[in-house]
Amino acid sequence: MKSKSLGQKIISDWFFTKGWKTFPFQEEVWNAFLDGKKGLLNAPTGSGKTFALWMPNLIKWINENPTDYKSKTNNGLKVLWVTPLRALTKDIQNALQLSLEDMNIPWEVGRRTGDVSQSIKQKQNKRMPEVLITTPESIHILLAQKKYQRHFKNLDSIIIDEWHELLGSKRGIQVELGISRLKALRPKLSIWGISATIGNLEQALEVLLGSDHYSENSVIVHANIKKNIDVHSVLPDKIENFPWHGHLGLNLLPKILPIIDKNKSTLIFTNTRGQSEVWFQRILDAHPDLAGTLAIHHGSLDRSVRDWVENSLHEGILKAVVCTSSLDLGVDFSPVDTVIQIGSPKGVARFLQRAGRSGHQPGATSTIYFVPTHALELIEAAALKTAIDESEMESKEPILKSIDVLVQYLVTLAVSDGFMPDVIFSELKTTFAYQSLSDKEWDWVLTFITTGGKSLGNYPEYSKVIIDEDGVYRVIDRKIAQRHRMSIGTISSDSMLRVKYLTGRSLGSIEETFLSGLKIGEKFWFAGRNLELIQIKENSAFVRRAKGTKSKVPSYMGGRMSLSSNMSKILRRTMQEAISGNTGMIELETISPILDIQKDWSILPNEDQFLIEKSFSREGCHVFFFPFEGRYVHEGMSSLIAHRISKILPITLSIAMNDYGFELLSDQDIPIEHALEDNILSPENLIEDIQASLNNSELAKRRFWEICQVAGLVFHGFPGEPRKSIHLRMSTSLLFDVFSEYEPDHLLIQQAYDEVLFFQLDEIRLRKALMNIQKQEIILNYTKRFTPFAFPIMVDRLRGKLSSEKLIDRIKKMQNQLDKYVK
Amino acid sequence: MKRIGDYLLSFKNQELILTPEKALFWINKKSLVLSDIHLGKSGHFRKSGIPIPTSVNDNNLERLDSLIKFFDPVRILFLGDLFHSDKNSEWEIFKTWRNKYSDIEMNLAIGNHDFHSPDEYEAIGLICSKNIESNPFLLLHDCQEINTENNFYSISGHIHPSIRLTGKGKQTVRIPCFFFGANNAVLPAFGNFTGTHSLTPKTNDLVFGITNDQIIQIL
Repeated sequence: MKSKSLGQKIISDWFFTKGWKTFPFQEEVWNAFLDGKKGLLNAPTGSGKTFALWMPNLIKWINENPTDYKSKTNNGLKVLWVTPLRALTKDIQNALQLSLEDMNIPWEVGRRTGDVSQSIKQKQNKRMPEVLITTPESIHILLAQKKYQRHFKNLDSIIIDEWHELLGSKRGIQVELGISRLKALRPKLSIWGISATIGNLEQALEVLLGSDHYSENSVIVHANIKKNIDVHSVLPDKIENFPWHGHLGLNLLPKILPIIDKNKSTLIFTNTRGQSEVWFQRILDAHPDLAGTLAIHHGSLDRSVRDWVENSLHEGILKAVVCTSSLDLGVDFSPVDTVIQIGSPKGVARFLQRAGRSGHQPGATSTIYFVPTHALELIEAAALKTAIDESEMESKEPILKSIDVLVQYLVTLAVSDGFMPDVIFSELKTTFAYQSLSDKEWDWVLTFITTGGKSLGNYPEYSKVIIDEDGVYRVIDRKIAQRHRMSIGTISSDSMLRVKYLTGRSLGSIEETFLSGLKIGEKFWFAGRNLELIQIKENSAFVRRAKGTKSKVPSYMGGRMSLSSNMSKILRRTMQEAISGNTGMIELETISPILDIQKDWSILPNEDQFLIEKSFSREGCHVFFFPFEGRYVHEGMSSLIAHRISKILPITLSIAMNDYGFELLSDQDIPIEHALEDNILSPENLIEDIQASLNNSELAKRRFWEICQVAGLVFHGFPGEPRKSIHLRMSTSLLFDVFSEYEPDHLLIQQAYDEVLFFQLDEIRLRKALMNIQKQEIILNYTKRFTPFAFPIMVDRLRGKLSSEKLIDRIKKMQNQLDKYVK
Repeated sequence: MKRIGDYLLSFKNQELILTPEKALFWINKKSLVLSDIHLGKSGHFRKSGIPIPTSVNDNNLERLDSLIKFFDPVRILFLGDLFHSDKNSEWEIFKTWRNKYSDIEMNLAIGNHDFHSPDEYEAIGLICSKNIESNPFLLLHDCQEINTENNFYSISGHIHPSIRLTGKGKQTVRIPCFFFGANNAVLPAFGNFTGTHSLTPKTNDLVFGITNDQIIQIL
């Protein structure tokens, strides 16, 4: 065994004085890091992962400067620490700073995120701290600065924290791109990621390092920390009174209160911001004593509001916090001993992650209560219980070749010092995301950012990126540069308005679409407060506290999540257990009266049966399909089936779905009998039919909305600026139509379709599901009433549509109901 | 005079033809009336680094050409928002187009997006004014700006009207429309590259929906 270096000795001593012991995995990471290896640490939060990757940086520093490591200052940026959540940066900063102070190392630890003040950023621009904790977006903002290379000339290592959160998203691609540039500037850069357990860790490492650095010299270190988790379900006393649909779950509120009471500190996770507002309000109504010790936390609230909640959680002065995914990550709230999950968490990994927010200390047990919001979620409750005993985890599939992110990145480089295409292209080819980028696609992207694309022809007034006489791609228009810097990022959102008191105190931001729908004097709930709208001025909505109960709750944008494939598999299995009567689980016993009704009115399909239900109402003809494959697969399958039916006859179909099945609805009879004879559930011609059905559906258009934001085709205006930039705003669906018409092979349009296939229709999963149905017996039942399976889908108002009728014929049919429109 | 798909409307003792191209031909005055073309909009976007093809505009002028060929108007009335923004290449294209029809009088009621000065419009042969009085109608860009005392029935643009229809089976359809209210009519936006705003009609209002190739009376 090698003898300990000076650095290692000093660090070990420090651990000893703290009364801590190093974990074997920590030392394993230190050794690998110091050997010059790159890699991935697989460890959960609260396991000592931060020190695992922080200490080797210090060891290296001490070993390289054995005599003056305590006095050398002004060393330039050495360590870049990237985290997905800016809320986490402060905690990491504190942890790192503490160790530096104890060891008298005069390094500075800075943060750089959207919340950090302009003056601090300017100070950093002049002189970088030795450690910078930042987000993927902020790296790109640095890359958009003039002479950005000077910041990185001493950089030794980059650590990507919570890599599993970034992988599989466009923010993950931003990290890949950032690393590809930094690797070129600093070929010996140490690259390390930290990830919770996911199904594809090896791939996660490959994506992180890129093809040029992913080799024998890289390693995955497993912390192997097993957490004990207690899962409880909150069950209704009388299933007869329990709703068949809905997502709020307030029905079980009376059963939540005692859980809050008997525990020290509880996190209550809801799936949407609107839901968290409602729950906060209702808990307070039911339990006014909690005022002052109950808080709310979600992503639309102001940083200062959230900081207060987080600090109070730390200090243990909060009895409960109603929150959303905003508290999924990071920050160690040791006083929290209980977690409540309202409604389906949609995936096993997320459920475990949330459970892990309680009992944070090593060795402690995490306790989580699952609260179903409607009857069928009881099956999910049972499924979750069995799921945590299995180690099979969801994978995070990396995204390939996002053109929008690439466009943004190239303009970023053009805005700062400009770029040479050949240099950047070879860097891109080492990234996982762009390894298969073809010369043709590359040319298209270059043309797009310089001339706007071939449909634009040669219009001198189009100016974004220009090519100077040395062949360097640059942005020279200052306005365009400024606008680009403002819009770096891949998280798209609707225009937001700040919600402020007249005194100027800000509470947070809400989507403009909600606020502009309110009248002056109307009341709404936000940040756990009842507010009255006074006026909307520029980018702010001014409010005052209000009384009364008739307040609206903002409906927030944001797609609905789908069950993960893993989760739907476990769900299907649990469902079969319930159907076969092989229960033994309290959740399944509780739901059995509902399943009896389903059996009575239709059937409970066994593994060899595929159930279709057809019924009629005043609305017309409803046909329900139940594959139990999760919302995303149903989205694809439903538009496929709708497309195939619409080829049989001119028909207009409205489509709704949930995680269990989907519905086709039409004003006329849907000839499902005939369609089944044509084998509409067949996997044959799948690709062609999906492509064709996509052209008719709005899925691609919805994807395009986000793509436009990332690629810089829409601009929300500068903060505080009077809203005159409105004449630069336009509907992205109009852009979609314009591009589709004038340049059908537009790569951004192609990307919209590709994303639908990748994120939503998941061809492989869809094909597998269809193959499976081929083996099943199709049972078509005519039901008099909507069954427990069908009802929750039928009441969903979020719907897609598909039509093969002529517009004029549809309008003529609608004319019969005209009275409604006249006020 | 009327083509298949057009709609002949007798209104205030005048004969009007509503066309699926989103223009109105006023037979009594041999005038073609249209609003909100927003020419130059694509150029304005391009200048700001958002790539919109110009072909969008070609189509606007092509549609106008075919209407002129068929109806042979003596006068064209543009009800504002002819140009979306300041001068760009599309202004030149429009100038050339204007010169093709030197025997047709063209009037422009100035709109909120018309950044060019009246002098510039006059220079290429467009007569500019705030309102255009032509009995029994007062034609202008935005009917909100009308003086309530005058007795004219006004025809305006500006709001890009559309109507939302709903039917059985949770179906909805939104189509641009011509709208005739008690004191004011609103024309659809002629420009291709424009959005719309949904209207809620009152009793006795007339609404004509526009599909690709046909006008259909909704109310």
